[in-house]
Amino acid sequence: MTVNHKVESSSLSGDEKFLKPKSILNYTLTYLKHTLLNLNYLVNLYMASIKSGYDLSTATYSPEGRVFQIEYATKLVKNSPMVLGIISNDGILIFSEKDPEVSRLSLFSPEKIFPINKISAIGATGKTGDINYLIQRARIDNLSYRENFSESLNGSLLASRVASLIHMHTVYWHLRPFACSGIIGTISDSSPEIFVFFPSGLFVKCFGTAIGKQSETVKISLENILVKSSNCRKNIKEVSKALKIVKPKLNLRLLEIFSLSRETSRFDKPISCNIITENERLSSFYPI
Amino acid sequence: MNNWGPSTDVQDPALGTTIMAVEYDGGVVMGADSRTSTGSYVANRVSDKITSVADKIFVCRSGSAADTQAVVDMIRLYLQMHSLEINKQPEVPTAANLLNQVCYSNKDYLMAGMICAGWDERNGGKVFSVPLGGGIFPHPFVLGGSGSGYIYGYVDSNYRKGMSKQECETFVQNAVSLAMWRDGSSGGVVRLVTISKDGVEKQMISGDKLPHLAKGWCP
Repeated sequence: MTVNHKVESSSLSGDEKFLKPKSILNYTLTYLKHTLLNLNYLVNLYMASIKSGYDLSTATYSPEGRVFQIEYATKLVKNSPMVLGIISNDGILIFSEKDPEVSRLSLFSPEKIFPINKISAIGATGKTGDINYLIQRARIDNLSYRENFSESLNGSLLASRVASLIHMHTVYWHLRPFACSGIIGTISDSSPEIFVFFPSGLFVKCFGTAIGKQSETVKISLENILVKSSNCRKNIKEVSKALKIVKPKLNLRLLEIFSLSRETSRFDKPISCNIITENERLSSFYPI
Repeated sequence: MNNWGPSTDVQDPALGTTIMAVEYDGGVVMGADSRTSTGSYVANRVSDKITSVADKIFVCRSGSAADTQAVVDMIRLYLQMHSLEINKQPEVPTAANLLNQVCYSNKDYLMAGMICAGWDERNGGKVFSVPLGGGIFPHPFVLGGSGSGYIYGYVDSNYRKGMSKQECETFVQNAVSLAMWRDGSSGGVVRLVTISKDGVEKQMISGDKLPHLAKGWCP
């Protein structure tokens, strides 16, 4: 399973409530009057107490050793539509939830999963502008790699290039960090691989993961699906079931699904409508 | 060519030569002569024209000695960096592609005709020809150099697909000796390099041990 990249405070010592940070903007510690035990509130407390200048630039560390700009960018990703990737017996599946507020199915629905070459695709979520730039660079990198080495860019090479691009932007060209996170599905040496990259520039190889809204709950169901170890077709149904449980109001037509398996041997296009309709029909039989 | 100086025959060291590489069942055999000449003076009569760029990928060089050495050094560097990135041994088509990139982009300045051959896990034994001016051509066997013109007949009539290692080595040895017999800029010893899954084997067959194929009419 994917490494838990959440860096939010899970254990706050009581002392931090009484910190008096030197504040350029002179924020008072009014927020700290509310001594609540609810973790969410604690998080807000913590975040509020940081408004003392350490979060103004990507180039600044806080005294606790955190770069707040990157954490804020991660927060943006956490509130974006979900993207899910899983390795099945015979291939890779990438699901992406289209933003229901923005999509009008027949008229307009922005792409979320982008093929880079015939054997790799990236499903990204976060700020769309950042995603577009990243995908463009990945595609150009793929072309120049092909020109020099007569092979497509795939596997951990692709993941490391994407991740180092994000990292470079955050470290050197730090107007603001990249606010996008994504799942890369590739085939390398005939074995399917999934990588996930984060706004901090980290990339991790895993068997299945989810990013975005409500991804934590979905990851638990993904573990069960992975244990069953079925092929792509079956997994599409299993994952849709799991998604329906987590998000009951989910319209299955708003899922963009890319699959790379023996049946669909090119990662170029989303799966056909028939499978989606079949999915809908099957999942409507399961009580929620 | 200079029109001053004691001899108008003096040129840059050149590998007027005979080089070839042949695929067999399980690997490749590469053969070359060993003469480097500057004009009509033989600068080196035991040169090694088959240079390694990776553990199991070798390049036969013909043309200007300096140009080919520089190109091969560059390829070796790029291939090593690439193999660090991909965490595996590099593949022959990759090496040939890199050769092509370098030779084509600098075609105005280079005089280098190369043959890139080797063995890798995914493709088995492979031979690629990268002639003067660039271009990459995969073939089961390739001849190159000034001496190659004299042996096309022999090679065309005697090559068979799926030879064994011994047959292939004899084939290459015979072909290169025939070229050395007739071509003025090829001579010395025959160098053979056999690359297969089990490793790389280098041989040198000196002039007196070469097969004398013209013995039917020439003593």
